Amino acid sequence: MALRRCERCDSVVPDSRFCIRCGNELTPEREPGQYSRLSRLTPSVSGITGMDPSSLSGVRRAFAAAPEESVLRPSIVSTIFPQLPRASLGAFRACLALGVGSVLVLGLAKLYPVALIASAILLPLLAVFYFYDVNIFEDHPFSIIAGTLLAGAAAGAVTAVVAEQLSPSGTQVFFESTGHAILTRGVLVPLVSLALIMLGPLYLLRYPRYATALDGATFGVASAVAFTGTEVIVQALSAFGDGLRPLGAVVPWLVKLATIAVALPLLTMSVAGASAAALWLSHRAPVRDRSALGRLGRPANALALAAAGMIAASVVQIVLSIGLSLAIIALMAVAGVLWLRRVIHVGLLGEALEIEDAPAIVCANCAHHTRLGHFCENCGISLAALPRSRSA
Amino acid sequence: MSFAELRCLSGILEGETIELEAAGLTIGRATEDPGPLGGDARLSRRHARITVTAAGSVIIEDLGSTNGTWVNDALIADATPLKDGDEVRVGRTTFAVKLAGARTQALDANRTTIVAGERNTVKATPTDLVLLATDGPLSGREIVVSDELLIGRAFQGDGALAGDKTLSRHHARIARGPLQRFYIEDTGSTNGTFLNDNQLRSPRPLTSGDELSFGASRLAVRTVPQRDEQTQERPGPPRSEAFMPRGSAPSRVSSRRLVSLFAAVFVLAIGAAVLGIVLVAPNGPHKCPPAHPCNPVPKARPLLDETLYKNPSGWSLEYDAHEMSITGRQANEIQLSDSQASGLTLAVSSKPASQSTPEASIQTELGSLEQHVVGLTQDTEPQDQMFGVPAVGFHGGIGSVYGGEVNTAQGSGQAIAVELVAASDATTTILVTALFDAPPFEQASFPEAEAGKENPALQAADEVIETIRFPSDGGAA
Repeated sequence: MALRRCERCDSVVPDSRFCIRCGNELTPEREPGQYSRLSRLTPSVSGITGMDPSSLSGVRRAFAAAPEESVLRPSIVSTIFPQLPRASLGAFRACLALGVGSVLVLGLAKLYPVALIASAILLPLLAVFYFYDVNIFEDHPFSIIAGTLLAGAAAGAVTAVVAEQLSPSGTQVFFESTGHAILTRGVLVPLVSLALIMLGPLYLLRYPRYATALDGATFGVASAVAFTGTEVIVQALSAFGDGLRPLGAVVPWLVKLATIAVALPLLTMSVAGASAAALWLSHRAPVRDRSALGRLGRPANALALAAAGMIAASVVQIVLSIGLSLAIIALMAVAGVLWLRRVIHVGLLGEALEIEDAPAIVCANCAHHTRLGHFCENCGISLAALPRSRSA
Repeated sequence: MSFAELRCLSGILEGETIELEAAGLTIGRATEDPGPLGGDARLSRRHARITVTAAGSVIIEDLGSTNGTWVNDALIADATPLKDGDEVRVGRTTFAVKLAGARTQALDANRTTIVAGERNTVKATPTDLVLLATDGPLSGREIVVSDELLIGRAFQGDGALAGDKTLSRHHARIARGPLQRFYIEDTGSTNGTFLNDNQLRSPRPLTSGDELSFGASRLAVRTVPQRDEQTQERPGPPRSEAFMPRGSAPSRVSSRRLVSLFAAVFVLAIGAAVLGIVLVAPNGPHKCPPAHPCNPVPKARPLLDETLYKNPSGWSLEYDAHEMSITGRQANEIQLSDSQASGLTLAVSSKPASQSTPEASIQTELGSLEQHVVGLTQDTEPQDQMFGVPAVGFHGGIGSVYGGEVNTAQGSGQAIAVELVAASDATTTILVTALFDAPPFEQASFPEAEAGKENPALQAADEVIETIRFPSDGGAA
């Protein structure tokens, strides 16, 4: 097998499109003598271990979990479901579009309570399909994932009840001072929410078998998605007594439904996932990787940013119109997705340093033969981000 | 020495034969070739083991797999001896067993033979794929594929099929896959890729004699032994920076099935929600068109414990201190709440008539309320007739009933109803905002209310509204 030296990590790797150790896209046209061809594979770890891991994310722009996309692209599906193979991305995007479309159609038909339920279950349902499709249970037993989802759901129900107790009942909301509303529903409730969402992941952090940032992101996202869905349903229970088609103008409802179905859960999932992944990165990753995310890699900073995001999302809903709220929350959700994407990306690149060499396998993403290194030599995907049932 | 042949009837290795040697075969995703059976995703990491006993018999046992090991459609729990003709199913792969004494030695020349056991080495004959164009712009020419061929208008050389304009930019991909076999997959073409006239829905292996159709081109498939020098001389397969192969690894759930399953579960959940809401509120909000009013216009009763409120702007009102109390007071506004906890809150405010008309007052108030109510809209069919003629005290005005649900950060909350009425005299415009926790037609909030009778909350509101006196009426005198 022809070998070459990767310009980025300095490892000797198969002469292919991507470096199997750091995922760098190898230069296709090389000057003679730039690297030496070796007669057999001689795995080298000296180069990679001497490399500054913090430089990895800065060099490679292709998202380690979906190399056909830039790490700076706010793609929802490939970020919140990072282990999806390329072949399933389209189907999940179709499901998401179908779900959002259904919610909007229900809203147009003025079936507001039904649309609320559909909004609440859309992303949790997709998450369950994701866990099944990537066979997440291979590494995370069913009881762990189910427990995380249930804990998140219970936290969502508790938070909805607490929020209701803290809010003035019925028409008294009109006479509540803005300061009181911001303090309770704008600050206190989001803080309680984040704390409860993170309980499940924090409990799992103590198990060494869940060692990667991807594990942390998975737990954070699972807990958050169950939380938001349950919170909306419990909150909406009081509205069910008004029948299938309560009084209400269509346009404001569509805006509100878009906020509930996509923007808010996406923001919550991404900040919770990114915080959990940062926790994992700082507690479970090798010491040399813990600074790879900079200041955002510190759990306290990550949790503070997550809390700030959730507080801001609640406050804008109190003080601004629902249209403006949606626009701002959507922008924050995009920022959250990019943050989660970066944490996963850095985490996967860090994982790359830890995987031992192994024989050739067929990459589940592109079906090419590749050395079982860290990245597929053909498509550049992080092998750690492949579905569990198809990663080896 | 081979003890048995395992002929794959279905699965990724369909058509292949695995020869079982003395060391047996461990099947599973985490085992050595050919144990993963070409990458069967339904296999467990260590799924099953086939061993050859000292007496030469062949035994299969399950290694605790998730999806089980089946012999002749029966799930096995213990080690089970295999006999000639048995069919074994693991994951998506089914193979027929031919024991050494019974099997024939003639193997298809084109068939790959895999030897399992001893060192579990793969003996696969590398072949090139030759595509003979039988129709289309490339007709009569041959394409030799040694590793990968990307087909589409976006590619140069053979992949463009001599400029076939009916191709999509990225039409299909032929590539060497597991065990040196060639596979074809559609890469999102508009007009589809057809194998033996069947449209491709998932990656399929290619064998000699197959016919492929892309756009206007038709290609006949055959395999030829690979020549080393040919491989080395041939330039690498065309690659586009924008194109990435979609992957031929079998999905756990096919895309179409996944979308269908999701849609089915989603629809079921929506159906369950509809059923639940119908059970909770079987009749929904009771609507009464203006031509057929349900409940009569409330009639004000005499106030039992009359309390007079005088506003500095010169207007006044009276309320029953037994039933209502002042909960807020500003320069030109007063808020009264029903102390019977029926959910009624009444806000009365004033502005100089020169600054605001009744219409403008109502519009401004609606804008303020919309911040707190999702979809606040006029209720044209209220069950309770709130107004005979909208009036404030002795002054006729304008007014409407509105409804919506309280806006919360997590969605929507309790339903509310709003009655707005405004009137003006020469100097002052007075706006009355009556807020109800639930629409007045919701009898659950007012157990004493019955269809055909006056709603007590509305009645209480009406009693106060009738007592409002403008400055021109000598209100604060």
